[in-house]
Amino acid sequence: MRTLDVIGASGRAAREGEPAGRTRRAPFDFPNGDPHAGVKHYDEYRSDLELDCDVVVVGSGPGGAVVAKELAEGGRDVVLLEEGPPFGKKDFVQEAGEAMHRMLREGGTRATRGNMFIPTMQANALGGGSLINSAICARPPAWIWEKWHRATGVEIDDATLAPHFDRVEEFLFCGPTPIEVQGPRNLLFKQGCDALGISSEPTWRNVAGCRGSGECFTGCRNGAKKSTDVSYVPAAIRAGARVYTSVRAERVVMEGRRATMLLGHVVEPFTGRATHSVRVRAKTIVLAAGCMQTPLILEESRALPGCAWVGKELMLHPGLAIMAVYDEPIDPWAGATQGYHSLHHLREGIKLEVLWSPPAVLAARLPGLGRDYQGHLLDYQRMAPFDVIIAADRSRGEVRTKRGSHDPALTFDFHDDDVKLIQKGLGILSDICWASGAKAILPGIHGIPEILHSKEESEILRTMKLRGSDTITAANHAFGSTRMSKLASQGVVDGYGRCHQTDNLYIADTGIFASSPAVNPMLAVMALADRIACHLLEAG
Amino acid sequence: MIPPLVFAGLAAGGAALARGVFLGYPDKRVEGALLYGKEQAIVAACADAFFPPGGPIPLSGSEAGLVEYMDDYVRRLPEGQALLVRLLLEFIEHGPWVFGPKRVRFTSLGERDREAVLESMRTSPIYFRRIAFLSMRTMLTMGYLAHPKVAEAMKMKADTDPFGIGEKICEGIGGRS
Repeated sequence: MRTLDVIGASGRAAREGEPAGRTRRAPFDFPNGDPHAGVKHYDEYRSDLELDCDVVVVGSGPGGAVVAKELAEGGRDVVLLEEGPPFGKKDFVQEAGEAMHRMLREGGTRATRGNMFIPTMQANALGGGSLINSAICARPPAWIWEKWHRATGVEIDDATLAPHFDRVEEFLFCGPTPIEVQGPRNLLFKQGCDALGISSEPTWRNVAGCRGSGECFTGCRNGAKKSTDVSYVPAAIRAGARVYTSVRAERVVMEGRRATMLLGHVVEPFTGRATHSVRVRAKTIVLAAGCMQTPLILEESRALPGCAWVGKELMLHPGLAIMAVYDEPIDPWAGATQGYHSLHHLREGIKLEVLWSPPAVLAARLPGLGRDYQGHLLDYQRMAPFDVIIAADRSRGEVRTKRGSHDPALTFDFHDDDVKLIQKGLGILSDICWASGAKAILPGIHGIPEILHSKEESEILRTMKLRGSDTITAANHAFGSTRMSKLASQGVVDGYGRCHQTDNLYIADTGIFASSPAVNPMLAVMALADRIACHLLEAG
Repeated sequence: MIPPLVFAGLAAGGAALARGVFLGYPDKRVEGALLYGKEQAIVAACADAFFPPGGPIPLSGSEAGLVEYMDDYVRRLPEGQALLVRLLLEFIEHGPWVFGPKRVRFTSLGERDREAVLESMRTSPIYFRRIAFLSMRTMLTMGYLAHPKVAEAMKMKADTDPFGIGEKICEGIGGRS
């Protein structure tokens, strides 16, 4: 077993004032080396499922897994349902199309509609989004909570949330990306920021033993990423939680203000074909299916009659990438997926990052066709993608059930003011490219030159009249579709995730966000989920 | 009652449309494929327009197996998404009827005209045409880059330990520098 600076093989130890039995750090010692030991697989279901428990949690991503683990360790009888299958290290494939098909809903082809198409994705796997994200663990700045408080009246602040952030960070081995695994792509970004006097820093990530393979998006073959399927879920199982994969939650049964039962189906992995029916009776139901799925369950359940906020107020972090091209090969495929970022302009709503994903996906920004395009592919080894994401506070969308399916129909209108904000970020990003020694920039924007050869030429990124539809904008941070509020008339849940019109139906995913967290949302939703779990334990 | 001349005209028009849309395509290239022969022909034509033979990367789209790749890709997609991809193929195939450069289907065009069609989609002022282009190119690029010879030409490595420091990192596990 690996030596840890922690607390023994079980990973169990109580901190002063903490409930006994709480695991402080994610376990490493799995039965037969299998982190998913004890997880129920599709092949194991022989008949309909009828379960009883104290708490049923829907979704094993960053929200649900935290709630399940904390409640199980607090002595609750917990059932955790996950629609996707578990993926082990050997199941991860690098080919983008197959990886997306296996691990993402709708085969990775999901996009919002509205005034433009914005690709967005949602994982369908044990561990949810934590399995395929870049493992970035960023705390929202204190002013975000002040903003949320002003907007919703909910009592929430930095000091109240700090212990929850501390606990999650400790459990997940969060720390800054080490220099040894940064690779040229990340270090060039730092170099550019340094030259301009823009602050930047190694991203904090939930990894242990990262080797810089740059494969976060398709699953970490090194097993370094502490996604919830190898951290919170096994800890929950040790504490007695029962975890069922390939189970789709569809409807909550309500009796007055009380949620009494969850209905769903066992579904075949990768096809979604329903086989057996599932009924889970529970004293408390926690929906953490993600901000694009939870509203659909609420809609199907008619659980919150008269609530006008379900599925509304969908918000995204629209992101735009450009390619910096260097004289020499930099092998962009080597190095931590997103090892460096700049929070310098965060107050304005701009976050600047290094980006990596399967090369074919990023190639959308490359110009040309035919032989020209092939030539650019050959130059890929000299390119580094950098991106800007923004807190698009003016833009809004909606989540509704797509007719005849269990997938959402998403709309999102990218507001002109937010397009201006992303354009501002684009200008700063291009400065970083030049300051890092880039010889050209491939902006991938319609209506301007496809290759910018100098800083002067790239001024067009600032001066042009940019429309959202000129860009290839993507957004993988989504939130707000079941927003929190103090008053029932202004949102779906209270500050502890309880649906206003109910006594025991909770939501613990990014849907409850009151607005943008300014940074990557995973750590924030985990801390909020930890807080919700603590509240449930205290409530008895 | 429809006058005979009008009827004849409608019938001739219908026949021409049916021929233009459905007829004259080769049989399926890939046995047991989900995509029809027509759809496979469209994919093959696009594949070689995007990745022509004799280009800087010595492997054409067809040689890289993009018809088979697309067939697998569409087969794995949920029904609704698969339908959209198939509609995209139709859009590319019959787009020249509306947008030129010649009023024939895409697969009937020569190499240069096919490139002209795709180039006009790529740079089109019509957002939907640009999205259609990007969608097609991204799907085919995924398949193209999946071919080992292409990856080799691009010097692209999928390496789980690119810096050779795995053991050293693991000794100090915790992910902290």
